[in-house]
Amino acid sequence: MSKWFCGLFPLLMLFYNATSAQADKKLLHYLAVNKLWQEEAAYLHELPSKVPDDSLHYFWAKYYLQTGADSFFLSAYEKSKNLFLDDTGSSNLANIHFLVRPAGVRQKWFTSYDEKKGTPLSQSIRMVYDASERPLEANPQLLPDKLEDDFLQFRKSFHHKAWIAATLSAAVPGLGKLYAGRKASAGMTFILNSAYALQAYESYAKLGPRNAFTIYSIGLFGLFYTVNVYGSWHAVKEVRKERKTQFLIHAEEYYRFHYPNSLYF
Amino acid sequence: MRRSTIVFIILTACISELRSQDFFASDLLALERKIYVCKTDSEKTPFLIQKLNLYISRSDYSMNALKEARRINYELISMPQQRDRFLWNAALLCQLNQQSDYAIYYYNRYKEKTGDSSITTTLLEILIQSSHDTSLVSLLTERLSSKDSSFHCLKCLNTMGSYEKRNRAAYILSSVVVPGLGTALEGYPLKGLNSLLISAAITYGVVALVQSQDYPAAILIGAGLGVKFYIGNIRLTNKLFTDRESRQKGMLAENCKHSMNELLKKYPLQFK
Amino acid sequence: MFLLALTCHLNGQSSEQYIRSTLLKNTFDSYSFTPAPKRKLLDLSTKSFLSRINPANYLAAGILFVYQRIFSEQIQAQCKYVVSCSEYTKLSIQHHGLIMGSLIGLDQLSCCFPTVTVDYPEYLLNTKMQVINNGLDE
Repeated sequence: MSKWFCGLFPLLMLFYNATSAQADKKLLHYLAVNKLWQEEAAYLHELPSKVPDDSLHYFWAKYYLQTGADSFFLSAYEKSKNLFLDDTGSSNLANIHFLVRPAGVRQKWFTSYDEKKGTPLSQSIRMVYDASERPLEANPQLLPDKLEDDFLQFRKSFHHKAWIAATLSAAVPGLGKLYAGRKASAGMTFILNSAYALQAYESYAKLGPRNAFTIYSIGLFGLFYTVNVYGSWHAVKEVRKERKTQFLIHAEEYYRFHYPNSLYF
Repeated sequence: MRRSTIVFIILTACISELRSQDFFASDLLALERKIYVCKTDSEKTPFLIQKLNLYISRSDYSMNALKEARRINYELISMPQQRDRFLWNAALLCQLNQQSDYAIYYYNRYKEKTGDSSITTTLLEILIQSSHDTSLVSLLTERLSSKDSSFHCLKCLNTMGSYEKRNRAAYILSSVVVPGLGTALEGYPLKGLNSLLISAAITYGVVALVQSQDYPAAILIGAGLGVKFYIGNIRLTNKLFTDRESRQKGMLAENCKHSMNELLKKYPLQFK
Repeated sequence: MFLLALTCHLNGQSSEQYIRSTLLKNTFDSYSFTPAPKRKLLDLSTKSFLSRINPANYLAAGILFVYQRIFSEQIQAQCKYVVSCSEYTKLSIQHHGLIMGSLIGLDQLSCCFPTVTVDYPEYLLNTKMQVINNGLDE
């Protein structure tokens, strides 16, 4: 008998849960507002015996959303989709949160998000996301006023073609960068290339074509001229990415400031 | 029977360790529930203190523990002994988490309330103030030295803080006059020679280009490379000087750390 | 009881040691001097066999090595990019190959001047007003 007890008692300790509370939304709200993550996780660990499975996943989804664990959130969200989408505060917050997450997770969230149950706010965020993905098809007037300028800047960069920038730079060094939207770099590229061109020309004229310094000068000019052409082509693509990220960052700031949503309201 | 008792103890110990993390979080939650139902801050305070003590008893001195300490209003602690203990613990916790401004605040309140001038208390004050008030640190060191001569070594805190290598301007001026000279005099002859050779090569190149009347190239190389390397040589001298000074300071700090370590072994600072 | 007392004693000792070492670390570590790490050679080990036998890659690696070890410190340049131009070129060559990598690196070099920050959005600038160029383009 004592042997059985000695073996079983520690095992019972392993599976014993100290409390057996019902899911208390107010307490969860309190823990979340005070950022007591350890306590919130402990509370959620205590829930399984009492609450239905999908609502447990729903609470975990909220917890992961607050702590920024995106992949865990997405997995918990998938298991409690209906419950989560009914909670407009949480789904709005998730929408805002995913605007500035890495492209892969962002896409995963917005493709899995069910728009049918969306509020006007979630539809507006969705529109911003769609505009960031397909800027040429979006209508800027449907976006919030404060994001319109950012969006127009972003869309403008999509009208710019990399090959046109490269051609412009081939004609006048730096012009392609100006076209891409990099004004300071354009000026510097022009000055640098002009100086190298002048040096190469002078060396050619004064020292002759076979002089080592002339060959070096022409080589250096050729190298930086090529770099300028390639740089302009590269700048167009870079500026597109930068303006997209900037647009999304401003959108996230805008929604967080104008629609302060709380997870547990 | 004896064998089963031993098995029982071992199994219980292992599983307790396994579950301690869970129990800790559960204990925190249990206390937080009590705090949650309290109506006033004074009702909450004893539970907040218990929570902080739970962290301390578990040797968890992380930011989470500090966060708990910062939730407590010390004026609401009714028992003076408990309040003093809290102020001491909070000061130590802040210092452990590099929050010296808060540490100074809690320490001053502790000193105000208790008037404690024991060696360990002064030692904590020295540590807290070491990067803030060097004159106070030297005063406290004097005070401790009069109690125990082993505290003489703490004078190193002031030496270390105010250490400055001399003649920086002279080295820099040497590099201005002859590129690389200051660097070489600082004990880096190869780097100095390198500076000299580069400057000489650029000067030679510019002169040659001027002689061949290739003025654009001369201007480009002179103004571009020449100036960059000349100023670079001065900056390098300055940087190497600063590096040496920092290295010297680091060595002083290492010796001081060793002395302080011995003192802290003799007079350990612990949570109350 | 004995086991419990022993555990408590060991715990107390390790906690005291932890407090002591942390206090010492917090007080003295700001004075310790750590020299800048030496820059490494261009790493071609992950590249294809053809890249590894291409002498041009070794020439580029040599030029970058000599520049970083000898000339870079002589200039004491304060690059406007978080990853310096030479380091960025090295990483670009490792990532994109010799030609494209060199072009990308040299493009950054030709734009490395104080006012270049106006060309970048604020999220790409750090508190020292340097351009954050940590992520290489895919």
